Amino acid sequence: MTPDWLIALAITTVSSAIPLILASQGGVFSERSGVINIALEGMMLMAAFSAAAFGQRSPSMGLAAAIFVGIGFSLCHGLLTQKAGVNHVVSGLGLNLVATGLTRFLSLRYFGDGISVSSPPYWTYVALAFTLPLLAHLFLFRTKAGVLIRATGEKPESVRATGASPVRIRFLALCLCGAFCGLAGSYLSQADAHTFSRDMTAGKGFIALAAVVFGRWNPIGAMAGSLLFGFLYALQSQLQIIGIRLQFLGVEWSSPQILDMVPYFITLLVLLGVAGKTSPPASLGQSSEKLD
Amino acid sequence: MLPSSRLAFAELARYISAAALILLRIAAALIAAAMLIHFSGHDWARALSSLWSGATGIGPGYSSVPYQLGPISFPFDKLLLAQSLSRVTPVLLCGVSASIALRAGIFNIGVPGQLVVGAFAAAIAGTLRLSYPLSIAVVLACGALAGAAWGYLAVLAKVRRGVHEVISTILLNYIAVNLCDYFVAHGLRDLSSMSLQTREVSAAAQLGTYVPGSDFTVSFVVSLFLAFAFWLFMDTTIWGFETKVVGSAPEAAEAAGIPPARVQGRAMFLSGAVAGLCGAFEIMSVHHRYVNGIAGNYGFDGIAVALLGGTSPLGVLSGSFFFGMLGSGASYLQIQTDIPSPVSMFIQGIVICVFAVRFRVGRETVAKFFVRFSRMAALR
Repeated sequence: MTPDWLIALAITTVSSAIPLILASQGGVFSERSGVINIALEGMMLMAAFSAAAFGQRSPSMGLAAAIFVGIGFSLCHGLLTQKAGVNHVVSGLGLNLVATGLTRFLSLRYFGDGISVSSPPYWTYVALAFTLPLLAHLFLFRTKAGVLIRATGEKPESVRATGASPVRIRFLALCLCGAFCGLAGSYLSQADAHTFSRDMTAGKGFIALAAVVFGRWNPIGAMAGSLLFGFLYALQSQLQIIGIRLQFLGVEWSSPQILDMVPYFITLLVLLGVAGKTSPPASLGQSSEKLD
Repeated sequence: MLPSSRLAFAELARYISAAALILLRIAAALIAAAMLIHFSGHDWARALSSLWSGATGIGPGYSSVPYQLGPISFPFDKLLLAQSLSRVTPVLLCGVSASIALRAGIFNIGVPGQLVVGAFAAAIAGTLRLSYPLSIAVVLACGALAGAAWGYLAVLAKVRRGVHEVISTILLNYIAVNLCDYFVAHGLRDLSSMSLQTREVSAAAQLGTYVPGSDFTVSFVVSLFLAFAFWLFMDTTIWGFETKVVGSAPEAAEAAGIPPARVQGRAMFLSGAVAGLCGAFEIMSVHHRYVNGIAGNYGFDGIAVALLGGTSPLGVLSGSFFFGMLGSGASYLQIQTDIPSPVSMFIQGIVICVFAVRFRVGRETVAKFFVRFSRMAALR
């Protein structure tokens, strides 16, 4: 194992962990306030698309558009689950479909000839991905707003008793979630790929959600989970680039299919090991109808 | 007391208002799609009419012939309708699959994975040289068993280790696709073809089409039959009752001596089996071999249909027809007008969101309006 190889692995780990870290922070806020959010995937996709659409001329416009659209899409999830009594998983599925359909449609229509997107400096994303979780942790566990978010996730009735509105707090948490997913999406299309390709999130939203569970609904834990999954992605892609052949027990372990499968498989194994010992926020997925 | 005729009228008004609400919601989704199409610089009216004729065969198609229905005559393309109905089949089967799990309180997001595994097993079983009736039975059994086993994995993870099924089944979906593709690439590949696919299944394991040129086979009838069998089963047997109790009130089930874990395991086994069957039918009537991406979007369509229809027979059936025919219509739309077919996914997403909204006042208000209106009409 040469040092070059190791450096490449480290760089790829970070670059594939950044979107997971950012999205998983969004997942933490959403789930801590009691909203199941499988729409992370759709939010990232929409954000990545808008970053590509608006980031052709100025990088900061792209970033702003991504965050704006992320928040908007997240608020749609809030409206559906908190105001219209829609089941959280149903709303997430619906919004993911809308995002997939809309971005595929619009990218075929407008990005048919391929586009190239300009990006804010790469280090901003690295800096954000490694400082925001710490700030999120402080926010969630050291500020009044953080306590309210966590209390809403555990026992919204008690928050209501203090005079605050659980629904409004969930909207606040979802705004944060949307902003994080916006950042993640902007990273994907602006800094990472410099273009938009259809379904470019490729399940990263779900992996981020798994990282949230892995990290026991803590920002720092979620970051650790994201780094682990990022490392698995990196290992996979580096092994494919190097092209070593690993073969034993009659299985071609270095084939692209097996390597693609590894992150999902390890995620599942990790969850099997971790999940039983943790408990999600108590009001997760609860309808808000009883509250207002 | 109200006279019975008034009661019947109120009942009728309620049905009418329910139907009106459904039409309004569909209209909302279509208007959103029309706006999307319009603002991306296409002719929305032509797009919607192409969508319609692609979905139903009514209107100008590939080879429409005049069709007489009572006093009305319209151009009708049998092939388009048959193709459209052939796409209803997998959505309906996946809808039934997701409904079974949902009745037991499980979100089976793993339907696509179970479909893939079932299709793969069926495609392998189909290459065995068996004679006609046996070949069909073996292919179906292999598909169903493989799907069931894959579904059971998720419930094991849930019951034994407390992993939420939404996460585990999503991961299992990715694993299923990659695992099957691995086996195709290593040893089970059709070497006479450039692409990654298995050998064609034997002729004895293929289903003949009713309308030449389409994929419309007996599987459509079987899926309808399976759907009705499922609801009959759920509403008339003890197993079905236990499933419902576990799904709606797990604590009550436990108190009544019904083990939730076992009932949920059973439900996921059956759910996976139906998804696997769906895969087997796709092999036997459409693709005749395992190819990459065989699951399409059927699995997620089925889940959405089950959630929207509230696992009720009419809801899931009508939802499957809507989603299946919409998908077919969108393919036709893309061929006719170069409007990208993903517009159908957009419509589906909006439909899901709009239909899942529970109007707290809506239906009652509309019903009251109808009653008041009828009273006014009667007085005059």
